[in-house]
Amino acid sequence: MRTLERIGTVVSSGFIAPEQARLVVHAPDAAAEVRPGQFAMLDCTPLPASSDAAGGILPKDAAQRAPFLRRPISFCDADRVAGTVTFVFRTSGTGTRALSRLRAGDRLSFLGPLGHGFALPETGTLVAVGGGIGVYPLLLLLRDARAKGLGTVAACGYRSPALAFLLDDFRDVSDATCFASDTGGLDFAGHAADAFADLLSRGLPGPVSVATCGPAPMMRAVAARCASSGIPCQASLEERMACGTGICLVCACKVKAAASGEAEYKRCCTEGPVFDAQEVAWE
Amino acid sequence: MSAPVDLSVRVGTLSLKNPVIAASGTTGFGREMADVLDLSRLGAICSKGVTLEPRRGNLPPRVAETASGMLNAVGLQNPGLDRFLEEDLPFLLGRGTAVVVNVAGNTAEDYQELCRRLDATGCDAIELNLSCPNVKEGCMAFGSTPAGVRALVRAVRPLTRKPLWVKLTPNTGSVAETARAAEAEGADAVSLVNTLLGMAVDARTRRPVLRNNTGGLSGPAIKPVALRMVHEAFQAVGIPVVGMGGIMTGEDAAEFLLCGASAVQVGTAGLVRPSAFVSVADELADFARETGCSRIADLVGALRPW
Repeated sequence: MRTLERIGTVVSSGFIAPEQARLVVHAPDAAAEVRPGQFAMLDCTPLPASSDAAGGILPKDAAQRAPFLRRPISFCDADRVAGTVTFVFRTSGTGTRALSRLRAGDRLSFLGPLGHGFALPETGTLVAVGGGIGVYPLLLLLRDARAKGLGTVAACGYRSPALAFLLDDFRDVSDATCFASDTGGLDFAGHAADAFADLLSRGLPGPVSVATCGPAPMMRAVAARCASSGIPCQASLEERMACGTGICLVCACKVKAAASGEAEYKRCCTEGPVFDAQEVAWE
Repeated sequence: MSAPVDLSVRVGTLSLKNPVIAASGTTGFGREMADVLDLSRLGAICSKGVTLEPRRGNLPPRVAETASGMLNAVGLQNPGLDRFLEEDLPFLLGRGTAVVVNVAGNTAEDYQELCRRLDATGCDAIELNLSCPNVKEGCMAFGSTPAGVRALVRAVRPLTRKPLWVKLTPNTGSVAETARAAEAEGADAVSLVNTLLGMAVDARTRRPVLRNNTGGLSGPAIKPVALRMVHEAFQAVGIPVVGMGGIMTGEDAAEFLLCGASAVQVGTAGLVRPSAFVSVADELADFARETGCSRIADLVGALRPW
């Protein structure tokens, strides 16, 4: 029987940029198991330090959960030696703000690792194209790609240099990086998709494959550029979730069926969040 | 070590090893949960709603969080009866627990065909979904009035010998009346409540959060309403009542039993805590032990109203 519910201990927490919180959590089993592109459902309800209840909710408190649902957060990084996983997320609502208030020593209940992540190619260069908070799952992807001996390139786009994060982390795991900003001031003035097209036009050691995560218009542009060049492209999608485990069917993503080419709904949490970008029915 | 608690209950002719049933739509067809949960520990598993034809479901967003609960508007996404009978039901039947098949349709003929074909299978009971609030036709359109319930149950009752449970909606004038209508036409049990029709609004975009505009509210937010309605239905009918609505803990389940439920269904709790489907039964046994109750069935209807 697979373990879904796990309890980790927060090693460190803090903000890496305005509204961008980072949690490093000691959870050796999850660190060993996680594959790039997977996510966890984090429980935002504070957990009593002494509780060892599975799932982390004391029975008497269960009905008082606030916020009620867990939050899907992608794994940004993992240290298999130290047994830690890193989550970085935007504090956009009550749940993520509660998570950002966790401190070293606090315990955190989560489900995961969950979902179908990125597949690593066998050879060549992996280009990761991320926009905004979409860059987060790409860090672990590039780390694992490099460990496998692949060439690694990061093209990350941000609104402005002040809102650019994890630049040194991406430099650490990449042979080459191109950081783009809508307002200039970094390597490239413009969107991540344009930075990616620029990188491609200058030539990369092949075969090239692409992984992308970020705003849908950006991923759509990256997918279109890849399709026209015959480059395989994987895209990580996002949809509101409740369970994260494939049972509630609320996180429907429109994807073309392999056989008929007809658009159908697949579960972002289970069949995704990473899909073949050419199968995604971009809205 | 105190004496073991007898957790077995009966819903009409159907015996369950414990009173906790996984509610429709919260364990799919069992497959997704089978490798993380010992399904044989469930009193029964109720399938995701099955329709005659495959359904794609509603456009996303399909979910909105609320205070102590959530709204969903999935819209009965399911692979249809043929694939259910071929692939999903055989899997469910092999899990060592009772299987209740939840069925939904647009017309009385849809429900008739579903019941006729399920009668020939090994399922333990059929739950008529007369209460899904997220589809344009059928379901709640039948279940919201006593006349609708009466017509539908009358149409299907002669077509199956399986225990027939009628899942009632709280979105009605009197749940006592709809429960009586189900009983009068030969239903074996009523199960209630399905979700309460609700809405979430994004004030900044001036849009409903759900693409379907409205959705079904579930979770602890609806428990007080559900308890009241289970109690009303229990007083109104002689057939068993299966109670649900916001059960998170064993003690919550005990409250429903006391209000008259012969068994309970756990749904939304399992979405935030997959082990809830079994932990509720464990906690119910603990509750019984603590309160000196050796047979859980003794709690059914034992509420002492003022």
